[in-house]
Amino acid sequence: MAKATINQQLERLEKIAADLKNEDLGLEEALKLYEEGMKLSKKCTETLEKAELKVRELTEEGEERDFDPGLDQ
Amino acid sequence: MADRTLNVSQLNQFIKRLVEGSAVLKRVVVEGELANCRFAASGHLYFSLKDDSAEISCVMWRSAAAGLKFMPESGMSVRVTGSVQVYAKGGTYQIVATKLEQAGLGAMFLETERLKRELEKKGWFSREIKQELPKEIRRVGIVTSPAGAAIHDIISAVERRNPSVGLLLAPALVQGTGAAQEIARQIERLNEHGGIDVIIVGRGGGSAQDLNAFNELPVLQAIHDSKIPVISAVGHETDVLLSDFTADLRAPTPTAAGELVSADLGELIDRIEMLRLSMTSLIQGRIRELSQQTDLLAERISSASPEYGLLEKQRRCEALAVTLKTEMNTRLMGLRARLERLSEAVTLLDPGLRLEKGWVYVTGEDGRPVVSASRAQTEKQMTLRFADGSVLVRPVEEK
Repeated sequence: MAKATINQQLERLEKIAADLKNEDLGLEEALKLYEEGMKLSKKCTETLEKAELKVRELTEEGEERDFDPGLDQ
Repeated sequence: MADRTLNVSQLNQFIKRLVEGSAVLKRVVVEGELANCRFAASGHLYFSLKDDSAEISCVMWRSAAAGLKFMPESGMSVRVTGSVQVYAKGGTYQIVATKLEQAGLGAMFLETERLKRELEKKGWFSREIKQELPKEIRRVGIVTSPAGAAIHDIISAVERRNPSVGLLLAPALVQGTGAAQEIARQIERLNEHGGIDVIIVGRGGGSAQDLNAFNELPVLQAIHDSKIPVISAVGHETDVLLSDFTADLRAPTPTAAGELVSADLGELIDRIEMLRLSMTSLIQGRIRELSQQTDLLAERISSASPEYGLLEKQRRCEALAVTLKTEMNTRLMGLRARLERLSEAVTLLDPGLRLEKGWVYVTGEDGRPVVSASRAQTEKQMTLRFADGSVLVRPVEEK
């Protein structure tokens, strides 16, 4: 699901930023992490800017279906 | 005495006179719950009034019903003022209502106050048991009416701020009989469903009676038991319900609840930007550090080269020159000291010191020393200086 992905991406991004602070990290790895971080952050921003609200409804059977809030308008 | 036989009409007429002639039944005030409430096409309002064990039919004629200040609905607590009248044809009696008011509000408030005290004592409202909202909210469960204002308000708030937050509506009746039980059940179901980070429980504005489900124990129990943090968002800012005290967080309105659960997307994008900046500055720091290390290495390498040897010699030369200069200065100072000592010795040779031994110091008229006989011949007069004074003399011409 796209929503979970955004948060996973954000988490990964935070992790990369934290890892880059580690002095023991080799330059090669640091550069690799940096590159990943840059790509990921760009993707994240794009995903967020494109996000569309999903409203679902919990049925009596415990299933989910789309909820249309605009019926009366 | 023989029983007097009546026909049905006579009996009903008798009862009617009896009932309608009673001063008490001419004006009664009765409280009860509205049931079978319906407006006839004629505009008359038909309903029943009931309590736990009995029921009575009522009617409110169009003229009186037109002045009603609220929309009567089954389930409401009301107080009816009217007279008891008998419908002789059917052998039934009913209240003909002249006044219909919402009642039981007092009783409702009293019950709410009692429950509030009880739950407060149990510690249900204490800060310590409140759950924090999770930092990252991916999905929000909402317990409210699918047709009410609240769901609209929440949806538009979340859509405006952060459409990446998912919403799951667990629809529930929010007023009337059974509403509290239904709300409670949906809170439990959302807990069981999983994947929900926060639950919003609420509804739009309404009368005190409309909102009362959120004062009832089943709802409060479900909020209290929820493993997922619950936000209570009932009515307007001024409406405060027991659900607000029991929930982990109170939102003044459903819109405010929607804002609470949706981190501003702009802020999120800013956060990503901050992370980008932080990563870039970290990697730049890395590179700067490395280039400093490289500079250091380069210096070490050049110190091993022949050019570096030459430089080293030059440096030693300069050092030697400095030493030399210092040495010379020391010598010079020694010489100067010797010179001073010598000049002292010279002072010791002052002629004044010899005059006492019979020597004289001869100066001419011009004050200059006369150092030879031939010179003395030329002077008209000379000064002989003894140790204790001077004598003026004139040379005698030798013939």
